[in-house]
Amino acid sequence: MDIKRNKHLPLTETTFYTLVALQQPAHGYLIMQQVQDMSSGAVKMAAGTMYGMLDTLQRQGLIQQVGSPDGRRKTYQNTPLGNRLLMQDLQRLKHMIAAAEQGGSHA
Amino acid sequence: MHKYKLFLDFDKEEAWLRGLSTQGWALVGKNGSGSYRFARTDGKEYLYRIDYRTFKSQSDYQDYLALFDDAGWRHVGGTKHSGEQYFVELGEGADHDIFSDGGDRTARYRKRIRLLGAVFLAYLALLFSLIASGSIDVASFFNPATFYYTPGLWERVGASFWFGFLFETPFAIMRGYWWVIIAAILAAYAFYLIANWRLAMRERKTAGS
Repeated sequence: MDIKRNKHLPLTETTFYTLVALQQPAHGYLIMQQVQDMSSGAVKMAAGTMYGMLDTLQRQGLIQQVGSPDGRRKTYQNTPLGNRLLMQDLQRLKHMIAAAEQGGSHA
Repeated sequence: MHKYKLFLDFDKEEAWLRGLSTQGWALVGKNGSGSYRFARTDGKEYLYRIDYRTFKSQSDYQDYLALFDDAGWRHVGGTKHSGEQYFVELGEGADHDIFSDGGDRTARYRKRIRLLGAVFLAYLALLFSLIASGSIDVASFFNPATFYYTPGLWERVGASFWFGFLFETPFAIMRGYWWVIIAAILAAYAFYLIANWRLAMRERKTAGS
């Protein structure tokens, strides 16, 4: 399988989980909780790190603000570019898993 | 109670605030000039963490504060443009830190360097343009006599000389050396930038291991 290399790829574990969470709109703290749940508690993001990531992903054009239901907390969601990168990285990971499960026999 | 102090090292600043909390003083605010405001408490130990961030809009700032609030950190100092943002841990449950990635601790210093670096460069540009336009006479720096305009001053003797000389000295200093203030500000910024850079290097070494 040929995966087009991108400067954002491979995604870090925290970025990956964040983009998985932001396929649906969510605010910062909800993302923190979802990341922790999805990773079975293995990935805990603290508030400052979470906000820094949201800021970075926005600047990279991978996520965008989509509203502010309570006038205070903003909700974020993936951009089409963010979703595309997530899918590309998912393919990369699936490929790695398949390779490992075949015991590296290149079947 | 007000306390005036300038910190470069975020870790030391956090430890200082924590220490004051055990003496019964809790941080309730800080203004831009470096003055901390404290209120009396029962001496319960509070854990402080400092982030460094500025915001383009008030709504972004509110969103940021809401996230920390949700995660168990109350904002007790800082403004939209202050850079330093002071948080105190509300209860147990938070992991006693606002960063889960060591790189963010280093990023605090890098962001401060970028912000202060911009001010430094602005002052540097000002100084150079004043020199280029001839407003600053660097060549006469070591020849202060040129800044005395009283006719025949240097030919006078005795009390007449001293009276004229001392009378004009404040004006001569303003005429010839006013720009030393800009140079001093530049030097202070340079010192501050280097100190921040050293702290960032130290932090990166710790985070990288």
